[in-house]
This record gives sequence, C-alpha cells and structure tokens, in this order.
Amino acid sequence: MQSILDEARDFVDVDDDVLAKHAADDLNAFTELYRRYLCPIYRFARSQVPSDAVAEDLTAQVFFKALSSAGSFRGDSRYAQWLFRIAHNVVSSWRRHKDRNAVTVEEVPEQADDALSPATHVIVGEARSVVWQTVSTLPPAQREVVALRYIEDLSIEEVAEITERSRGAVRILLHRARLKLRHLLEGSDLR
Amino acid sequence: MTRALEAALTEVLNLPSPRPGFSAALLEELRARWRPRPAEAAESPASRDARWALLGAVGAVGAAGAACYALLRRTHRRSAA
Repeated sequence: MQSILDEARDFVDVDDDVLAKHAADDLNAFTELYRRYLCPIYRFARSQVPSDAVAEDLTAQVFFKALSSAGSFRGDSRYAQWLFRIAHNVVSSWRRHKDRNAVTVEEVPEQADDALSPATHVIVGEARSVVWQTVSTLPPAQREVVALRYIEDLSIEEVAEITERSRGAVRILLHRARLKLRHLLEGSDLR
Repeated sequence: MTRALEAALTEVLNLPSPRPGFSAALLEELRARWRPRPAEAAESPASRDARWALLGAVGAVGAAGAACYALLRRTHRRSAA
C-alpha cells in the first residue's frame, strides 16, 4: 500500500484542481487527492458526529462518491469546495436518517495528531477536551460552519456555497457560534 | 479571548486523525472500485469542438437547401402566373 501512495506522490507539486480534472482517468491523481484530503474530510466528519466509527463510515462514503463522480468535476469551483460539498451532503443525509431515539454520546476523539510539536499547541491537556465538548454542544448548523471555517480555512463564500446558505446567513451562524463558545469557555484554561 | 478562541478552534478541530489502518484499508477499497471512464465519456475538448463544427456545417447546408427550395418555388410560381 505504501508503494501506491509513493506513486501518487509523483503528483505532489500538482495543483488540486489539475489533479481533479484527471482523477476520473488516472488513479494516481485520485490517490494523491485522497492523500491530501483524507484528514480534512475525516476531521470535518468527526466534528459533526459523536464517534470515531461513524466519522470513518461517513469519510468512506464521501470518497466513494468523489470517486464515482470524479468525471463530473468541471473546475467551476476549487476541488476542496467540491469535495466538502459532498461531505456536507453525506453528513446531512446521516443526520436525516439516524435514529432520533438513539442516545448519542459525544466522545472526545481518541487520536491526537502527533505531528504537532508541543510548542505549537495553543492550549493544553484538559482545555482541549473542554473546547471539543463545547463545540459539540453547538447546534448542527453552527457546528458545521465552524468546522468548515477552521478545518480547511474555507472562505465565507465557499462555506455559503457548500452549505447552500447566503453569505449573510453564514456570517450570522459564525458570529453566534463564536459568542456561544466564548460564553461557554469563559474561565477555561484558554491562554 | 477572540484570538485565543480562534487559535483553540483551529487546533482542536484539526486534532482528530483516522485510526491506524483506516487510510490504507479505504484506499484499497477505492482502488478496487475504480474503473477508468469509458472512452466515449472522456471526450477531449478537440473532439468536442470537431463535433460542434460538424453539426454547424450540417445545419448550414440544411439552411442553404431550404433557402434554395423556397427560391425555386417562388420562381416557379411566378413563371406559372
């Protein structure tokens, strides 16, 4: 499997959108896109669902759809926006179909990214868990725009396109989410 | 607080990573499902342009034929009258 990823790394300097236009015909181009976007898509999914297992399931669905509709990417938007639109649809569909009576427990993700050195951490230990738990209490629409904004650093316009909302609506959702988070996190270990 | 909050959100939301083995397993499944796009679906811009040029030419010939037919009919009616 490692050699497959190594082959795909021949495309390491190639722009996402160029790769995306070849992804339907060139498996290595698709593999490189997968390598670039697996973590962002997983993180987005994980921020919207209560467990690692569900996030993995939704991540797989996103990439299956991305693979099957690779030929439909026209380059009208950035590939990131196109892929996160699929992720938005997959998560929305999951929300609609999940058992409403089920008790969902918001687990804190098991894995931390070890690539981050301790010096790069803004917050430490328990505070991370507090922030995660606090984000998970936001209403789904606010949680979604917060995740899109802070995971992939998407613009307001891109978030609006992905979530099929107006730019004003996205700004309001972000503003309300920040207010609520600030209120909830007052007195935490944020430094 | 706002900057600290934004930094904390960026950090915390970017922490989760898929479990070990998930990435390779999913990639294997994706590669198993991958099928090259059928040749007719993978139309190049050049072939698309050629197709439109052909359609345009057929349309132009058709329009010219209709114009000739109309002219001939008109001439025939006038000479009959």
